[in-house]
Amino acid sequence: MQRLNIVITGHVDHGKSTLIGRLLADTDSLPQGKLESVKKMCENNARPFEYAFLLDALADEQKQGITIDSARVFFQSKKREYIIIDAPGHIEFLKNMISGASRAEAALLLIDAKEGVAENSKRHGMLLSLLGIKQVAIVVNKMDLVNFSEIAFTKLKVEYSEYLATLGIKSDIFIPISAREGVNLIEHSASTPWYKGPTVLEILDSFKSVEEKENDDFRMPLQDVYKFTRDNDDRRIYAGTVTSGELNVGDEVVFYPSLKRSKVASIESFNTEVKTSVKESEAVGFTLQTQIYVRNGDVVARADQSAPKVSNRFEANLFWLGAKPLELDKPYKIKIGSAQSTIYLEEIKRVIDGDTLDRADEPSVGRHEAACVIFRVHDLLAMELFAENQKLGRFVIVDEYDIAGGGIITEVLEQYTTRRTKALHVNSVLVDKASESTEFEEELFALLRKHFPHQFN
Amino acid sequence: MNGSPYTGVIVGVRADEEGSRSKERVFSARDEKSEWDASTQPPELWNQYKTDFAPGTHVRIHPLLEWTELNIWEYIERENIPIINLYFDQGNGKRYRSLGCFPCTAPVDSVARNPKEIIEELTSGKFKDIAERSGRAQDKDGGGTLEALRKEGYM
Ligand SMILES: Nc1nc2c(ncn2[C@@H]2O[C@H](COP(=O)(O)OP(=O)(O)O)[C@@H](O)[C@H]2O)c(=O)[nH]1
Ligand SMILES: [Mg+2]
Repeated sequence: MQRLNIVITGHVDHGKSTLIGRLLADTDSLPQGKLESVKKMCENNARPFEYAFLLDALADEQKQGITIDSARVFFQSKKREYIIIDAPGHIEFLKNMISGASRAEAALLLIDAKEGVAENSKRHGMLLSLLGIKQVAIVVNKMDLVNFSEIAFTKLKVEYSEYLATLGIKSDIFIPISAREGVNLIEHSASTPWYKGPTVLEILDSFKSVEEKENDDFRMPLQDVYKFTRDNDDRRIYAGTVTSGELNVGDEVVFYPSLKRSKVASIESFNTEVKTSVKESEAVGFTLQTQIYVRNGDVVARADQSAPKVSNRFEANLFWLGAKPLELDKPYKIKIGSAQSTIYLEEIKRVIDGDTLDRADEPSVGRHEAACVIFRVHDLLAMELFAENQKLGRFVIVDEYDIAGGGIITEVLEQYTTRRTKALHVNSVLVDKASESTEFEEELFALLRKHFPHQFN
Repeated sequence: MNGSPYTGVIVGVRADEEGSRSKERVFSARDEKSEWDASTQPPELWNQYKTDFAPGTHVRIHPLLEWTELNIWEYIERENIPIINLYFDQGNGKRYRSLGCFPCTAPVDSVARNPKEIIEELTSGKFKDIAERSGRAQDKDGGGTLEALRKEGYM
């Protein structure tokens, strides 16, 4: 059965956990007895039952009444299976919310009809756009508190649409609901006779799975090269996971950024029938007709298809979660596809926060802020625009030991060649020398193996 | 795991098993005291995981976090993986669905004798809507017990 990852976002207390709990209950997706046992637990502790308790399984959370991490719950409609990520709305937990949202293919954004647009309604909207999640429906909750008034609903819709327009998001899907009362979740309700649009479940079923999108050109970030030495086996297996497209035995492949090329001799897989072709999302290994020396992290493409871009500079939308701010000219680590390199923040074009949206001339990007920035990378990297290739157009930044930020590439810029980077270039020449020497060693090793095979068994 | 020479352990926990497990990360770091704090975990974005660690860190790696109970049985069936027969009908119409220590694990009523029959039971049969670990005692008691165990470093 098909699966879709969705995230529920919105300001704290606007009803996210209630919505999910109620969806689980009304679609019979709860384990038998769960609803009763939670109701009973509430009764025993003399507190009112909340649908949110079904999710907030951690004991700590029930005490504090807030969701600490992005819990994942499974739920099923007639059409398919869903993994719902219940994102915490509380600002301190933003990083968890982003962990949750980054896996999502679609999102619901909840706004409390009575309280109206709040700080995180805006911030989450902006983050969804930064994360590149295009399928977003706005759910106006707690309509019971405004007497299911169409006027109140329309007013909120106009206000939030205007905000979304400033982010470049066009969403015309707004659904008036009451999560607690189950209004417009599965079926249309008599409480809102004026509403003719889809219910929450209908809109979920209408979202497209990312997998449904048509095939792109072949790409595979090189994870590793496996060499065998036993019994004179001198196969080199180039291994990785195909992120898009298809590869066949006989295809000519090009490695980026090194531009080395060869033809696929065989596709290797463990414990299966012989394969002559592999496609998106398969973890594979292949051998080449000629032995070439490439680095882990290189991106493999087909010579007869489009090429990824190669540069050491790019512009990106970024969100920062690190305890320390992101600073100019300080070394960080970038991880993109299976490549890693040192990266420097070259310019902060603007910092975006939930309210003001645009602040220029900032010296750094602080925790929980988003920004439009330019990075320069120590090594040349193969990269793509997020809009053209999601998997190779997004990256994370590591500060010390932790992932401290993530972003999507919006523009690949011209390579850095001014005098200021001369020092950088000298460094990367040194790095190249180092990798040449391992190439030399490997060639020597191959030669030795050929002439003295008995030494290698 | 304290005092052992290992710096990491690969564990088969899954998000669909139980509430506190649904909040785990694929790479989950424990400090020197082996403690787990759900609220301060660094994020995992897309398929980029936390792979840099301070000296002294102990790592739990959960490669199957996103799998479901059904996925596990489908995989066992497809790859013909040998498993302990306690998971199958013991001849008395009972089998174990989840295995822990002797006193805290109870069998369930089932006549499934092989992975195929278990898959049938999970997809359309009697266990479609019943939690896998419903036979495990530590998940009861108000639901906080397993979380407490995880904080103390249990898996
Ligand atoms: N009146 C009313 N209250 C609601 C509704 N949905 C949720 N609530 C209440 O709003 C509070 C916060 O809900 P919760 O789901 O925990 O919000 P979250 O922080 O967004 O997850 C709870 O007390 C809910 O009972 C609704 O549709 N109508
Ligand atoms: Mg909540």
